[in-house]
Amino acid sequence: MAKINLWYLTSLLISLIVLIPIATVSFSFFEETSEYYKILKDTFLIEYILNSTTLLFGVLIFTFIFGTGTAYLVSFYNFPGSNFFKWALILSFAVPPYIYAYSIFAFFENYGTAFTILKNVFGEGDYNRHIPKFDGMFGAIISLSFSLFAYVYILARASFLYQSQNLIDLSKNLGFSKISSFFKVILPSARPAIVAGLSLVAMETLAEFGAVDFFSINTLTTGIYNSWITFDDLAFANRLSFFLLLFIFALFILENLSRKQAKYHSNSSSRFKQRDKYKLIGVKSFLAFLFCFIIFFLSFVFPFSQMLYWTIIYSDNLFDLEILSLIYNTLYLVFLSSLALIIFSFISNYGMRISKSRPLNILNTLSISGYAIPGVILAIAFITFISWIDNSFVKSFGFQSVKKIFFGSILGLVIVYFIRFYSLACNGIKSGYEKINISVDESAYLLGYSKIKTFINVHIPYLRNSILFVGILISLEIIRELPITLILRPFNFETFATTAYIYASEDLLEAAAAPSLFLILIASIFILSTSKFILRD
Amino acid sequence: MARTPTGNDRAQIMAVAAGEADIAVANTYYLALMLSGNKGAEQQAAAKKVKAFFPNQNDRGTHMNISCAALVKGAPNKANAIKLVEFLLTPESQEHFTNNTFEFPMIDGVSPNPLVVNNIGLDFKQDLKTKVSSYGAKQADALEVMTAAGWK
Repeated sequence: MAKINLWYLTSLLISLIVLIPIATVSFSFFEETSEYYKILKDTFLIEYILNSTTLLFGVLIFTFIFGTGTAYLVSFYNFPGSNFFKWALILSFAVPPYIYAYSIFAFFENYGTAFTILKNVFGEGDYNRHIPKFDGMFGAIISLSFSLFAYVYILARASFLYQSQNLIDLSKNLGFSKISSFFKVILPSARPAIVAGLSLVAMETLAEFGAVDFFSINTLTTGIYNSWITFDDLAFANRLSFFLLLFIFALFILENLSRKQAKYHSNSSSRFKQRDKYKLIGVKSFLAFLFCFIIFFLSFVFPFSQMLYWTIIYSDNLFDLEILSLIYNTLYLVFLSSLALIIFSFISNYGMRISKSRPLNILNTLSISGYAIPGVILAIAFITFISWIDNSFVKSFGFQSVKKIFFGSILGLVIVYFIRFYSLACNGIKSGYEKINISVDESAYLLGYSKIKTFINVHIPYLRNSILFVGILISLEIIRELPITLILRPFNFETFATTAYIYASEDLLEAAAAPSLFLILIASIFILSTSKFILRD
Repeated sequence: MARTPTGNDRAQIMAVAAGEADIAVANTYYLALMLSGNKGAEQQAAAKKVKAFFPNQNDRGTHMNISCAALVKGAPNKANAIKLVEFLLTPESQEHFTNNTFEFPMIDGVSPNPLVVNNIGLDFKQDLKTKVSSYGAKQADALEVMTAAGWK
C-alpha cells in the first residue's frame, strides 16, 4: 500500500480529472438521444466512419512520404540548402490545417488567386475550368498532410541521426545499393520513431476539426461538433464520441500487434560513431534540393504568401481587427495553461522520483491518455460531466448552479486544455528528469539540502531547458487550438484561431487572412526560438 | 448536383459564373457584395454574369432568411436590452445595415442599397405564411427531407 501523501493525492487528482472524459462518454452511450439521431444514424454513421478512415489513411501515406523523405535527405546527404531545410521544414508547424485549407481554397477557387495570376500574365481568358480544384476530401488530405508531416520529419530525423555508422557500413559490405539499404536497413531500424510520428499524425487527423469542417466533409469529429452546436443533442454527440474513441483504441491495438515481437536497440553511446554525410553532386544533388524545396515551399511559403497577399489587398480587414486584444487573449491562455501544466507535471514527476511507488506510476500512465482524445470530445464530455454534477448534486443540496463557473469561462477552458495537453507537459518534464542521475539528489541530501531545497536549487536549474521546451510546445498547441476554444470560450473572448474560423464560416475568407497571418507569425517566432531544442543533433 | 457541395455562398455564385453549375442556392446579399467591387475586380466581373432568381412565386413566395434580435429569458438588464433592439430598428441603424451588408431592411421607409434595387430587384413575393416560430419545431422534418434528397 502506497503511503498517502501529497504526491500521491496530486497524481490521483490529475488522473481522475483526465479520466473524466472517457468515463463520461462511456456512461452517456446508453442515454436517450433526440429524433435527429434516428434520422442521421442510418444514413450518416457509416459515412462518418468511412470519411474518417479515408482521411486517416490518405494523410498517413502523404505524411510518411514527406516526413521520411525529407528527413532521410537532410540527415544522410549534403546538398545545396540542406542545412537551411533542416530547420526550415519545421516551420510548417506554424500553419494549422484549417489555415492551409483557407489558402488552398483561396488560390484554386473560381476567380481565385490562380485565376488572377493567369489573367495578369496571359490576359483575359476562360481559365476557371482549367484550374484544378483542390477541395473536398482531397483538399482536406493535402491540407492536413502539409501541416502535420513535421511530426514524422522530426522524429524520423532524430532516429536517422543516431543510426550507427556500423549498421550502414555493414549493409554496404553486403553489397546493398543505396536504395536497398534505405528500404532494408535504414527504414526498418527507424520504425519505432516513424511509427511514433505517424501515431501523432493519426491522433491529430482524427481530432481535426477546422479544415475538415471547411471542406464540408462529414467525419466523426465534425459530426460530434454539429450534433452539439446545430442540434443541441449532447447524447448524440457523446454516442459519436464513443465510436471515435473505439476507433482510436483499435488503432493503438493495431500498432502494437504490427510490432509483433520485434525488438529495437539503439547503439550504446560509447561506441557511437558520428556519421559523415555523403556529398551529393550533379542531378542527384539538384533532385534532393528540389524535393525539399517543394515540400518547404508548399508547406510554409505558399500558405504564408496567400494570407499575406490577402491581408495586403484587403487591408480594411486588418484595421477592423482588435490585434492587441487578440494577442493579449492568446498569450493570457498560453500563460495560464502553461503555468498550470508545468507546475502539475513537476509535482507528479517529482513525486514519482522520490517515492518510486508503483500505483503512482500507473496513475501517471493513465493521466497522459488525454492527448489521444480529440478536443471536441473533451469539450463535450466536460459539459456533460459538469451538467451531471450540477443536476444531481449541487442543485439537490440547494446550492446555486455551478455551470456559470465552468462554461464560457477561462477556468473551464484552462481545465480542458490541461486534460488535452497534460501528456505533452508531463512527458517533456519526465525526459528531462531522466537525465539527472539519482545520485545528484543523494549528494544534495548528504550536503544537508532539504527536499524542497534540492528541488529549487538543483532540479529547477538542471531542467531549465526542458521547462522552456515544454512551455513552447504547449504554447504552439494552444495558439493553434480551435474546437475546445470555440465550444468553451467566454462570450466575446476571441483568439486569432477563433477569429479566423468565424470569418471563414461566415463566407468572409478574405477577412480571415489577417488573423491567420498573425497566428502564423506568432507561431513561427515560437518555433524559431525553440528550433535548437527540437533539432538537437 | 453539379458537384459535391463545397464552399460558402460566394463560392456557389462563382461556380455558376464559371459554368460549373446552372443554378445555385445562395443568399442574395453576397451577390450584391460581389457586385460592389469590395471583393476585387474578378468577383465583380463574375457577379455580372449571373442573375438572382426568386423561386415559388406562384405559391406562397420565396423564403427569406431573417436576422433577428431576441431577449434572453431572465436577462439581468431587460430595459437596456429593449433599448438596444429599438436602436437597431431606427432608420439610421437600418441604413447602416443595408449599405454595409446589402441585406434588406427590417422597417418601412428605408430603401435597400441601390446595388440591390438595380441588380437584384424588389419585385418578388416573400413567403409570409410560414411562421418563423415554426422553424425549430420543423427542424427534424426538414433534416429528414434533406437527407432523403442526398444533401450533405
